[in-house]
Amino acid sequence: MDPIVVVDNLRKWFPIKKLFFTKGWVRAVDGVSFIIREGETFGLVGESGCGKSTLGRLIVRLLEPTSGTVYFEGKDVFRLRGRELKEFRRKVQIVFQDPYSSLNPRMMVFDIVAEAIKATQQEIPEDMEDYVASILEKVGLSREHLYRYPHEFSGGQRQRIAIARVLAVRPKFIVLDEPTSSLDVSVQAQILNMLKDLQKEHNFTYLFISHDLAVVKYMSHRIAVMYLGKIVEIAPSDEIFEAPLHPYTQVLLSSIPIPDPKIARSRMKLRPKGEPPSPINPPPGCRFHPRCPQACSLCAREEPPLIEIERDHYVACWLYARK
Amino acid sequence: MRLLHILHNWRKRNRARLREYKLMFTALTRSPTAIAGLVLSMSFIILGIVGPYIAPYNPIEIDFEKMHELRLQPPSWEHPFGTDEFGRDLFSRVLCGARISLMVAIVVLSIAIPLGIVLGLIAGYFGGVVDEVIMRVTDVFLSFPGLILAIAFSAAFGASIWSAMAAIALVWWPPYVRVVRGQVLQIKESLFVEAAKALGLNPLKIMFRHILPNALTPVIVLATLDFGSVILVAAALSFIGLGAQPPTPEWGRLVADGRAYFPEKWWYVFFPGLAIFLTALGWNLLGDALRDVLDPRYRRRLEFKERRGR
Repeated sequence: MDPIVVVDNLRKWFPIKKLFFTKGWVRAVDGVSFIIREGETFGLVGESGCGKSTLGRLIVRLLEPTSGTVYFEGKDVFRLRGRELKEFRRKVQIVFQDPYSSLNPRMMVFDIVAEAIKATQQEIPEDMEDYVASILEKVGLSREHLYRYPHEFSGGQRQRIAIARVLAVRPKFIVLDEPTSSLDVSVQAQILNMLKDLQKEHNFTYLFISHDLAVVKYMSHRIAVMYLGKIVEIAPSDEIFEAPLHPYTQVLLSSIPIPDPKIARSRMKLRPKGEPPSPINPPPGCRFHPRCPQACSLCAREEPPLIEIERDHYVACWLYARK
Repeated sequence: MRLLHILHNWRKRNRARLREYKLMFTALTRSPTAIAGLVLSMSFIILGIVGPYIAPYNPIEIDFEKMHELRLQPPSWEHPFGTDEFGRDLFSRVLCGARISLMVAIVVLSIAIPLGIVLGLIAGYFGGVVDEVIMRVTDVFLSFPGLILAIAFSAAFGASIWSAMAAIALVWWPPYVRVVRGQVLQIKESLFVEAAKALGLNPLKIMFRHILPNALTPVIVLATLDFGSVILVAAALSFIGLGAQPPTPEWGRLVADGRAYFPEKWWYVFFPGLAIFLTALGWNLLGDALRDVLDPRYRRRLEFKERRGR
């Protein structure tokens, strides 16, 4: 499988302004590199505030990076202009977390989807009404929903409309930014299965962002774990769950609740010390070292590189990188 | 048959929209003050349109032969509002004055509102230097009291109803820039604007299709309130002699002319003053009511209540 997206040492620092001076920087994304292969679902997990949504927005170019870049199909995303940028917009789309804010409350469903078609497609279908209705049917809505406003729908239905808008564009790569985390569990499952089916049907590539480990495991082929603006581990989905290497990944996995109390009690409890530090002044060396149960003196001084330990399994930790 | 088909399709497409309008109307007619505002402001508009045609006497011409016996007559069946110092029927003059006030309000607001909307959209959407420049100029205009600035402009242009309109329009746009910009700053952070950007829509489409329709509610409310205010300011300018000139039957002008005969000939000041008062009051009540009516949350509550009532 060929890489479709290459993220190369991407940084996004937000300035903290006070009056006219920049007082400091929030290092939301701080030197991230990875590739996403065509047709796969690449999961991105991390605690809230670790920069995963910022990363998603950078990849679809809703934000400009501080440094580093993203390549889509071999082209530098942030250098695209004019026709090439239009082409990129047609091929790359995003589904947002909050379906209550992602639909214009003054537009009817038909107009929302039709606008996406008119903005991105070269051939405009003759019978727009029929075409939009057929897209709605794909996401489990029906023709009778065409001329309704977003406020007439539930959260799950709204997310379906948002997905319909993305389908109308016929993209190749879709960033799913916590698409189900604002929905209740039964609806979550429906939407996730629908996304999987759509992927099979259209051969989509997904970047699936979530803080929910179970959901990420269900959806993804490979998973990247993010901590304070950095990626600490990338591995195939099963490997992350069966043999996590990075102490942070281990801690994260041990926080998944287990339904059986016997197993839960017997499992070694790993807890990180304290709260995650602020991304404004991240700790030197390894970002995780103040909370890491296995930290050594090197971890506080130098940042560990992300290296391939096994085939397709990358980790950024001094425990595995002998120096 | 074909026409029926088109009508059917139109109804199907606009069902949701029509229901919103119906709810707005229900919301509007629920409160007595809203109805009062609606009645007052609508009758003002109607009188503004038909006033000169239904006026019983010529509002401007003076009948020199009868001038002395008709002069400053108190209200009677023949002259319900009395007569002025030249024996003209005040009822006719006040009726024709409605059209002048209506025209002033429409002209001023149709210059000030589009200007304010466009500047506010640009300032809020693009931000940075553009925003700074637009907002500082706006602040300069805002830092003078509107009426004083209008007096200055009006005096500079020469006293006439047209220069009064130009002067008021010139000082009326800054609040709209403020209101629109504030709305834009908030709305442009919405995810649906992000989604529109991800579709590659150009800034004009994003501003006018996605941001403006969602920013319009406070503009409509402000415009309704301003309809009364503009009429007041225009009357004030005429009152101090900078607006309409005699023999134009402008309301502020009428009050100014009647002042010399007050309080013995009270009707001369009272009826034009009453017209100004009721008009300003009507638009204020309507504006206040629209604030509720245009709030979608209020409409949802109403819809819920209606369903339960059935």
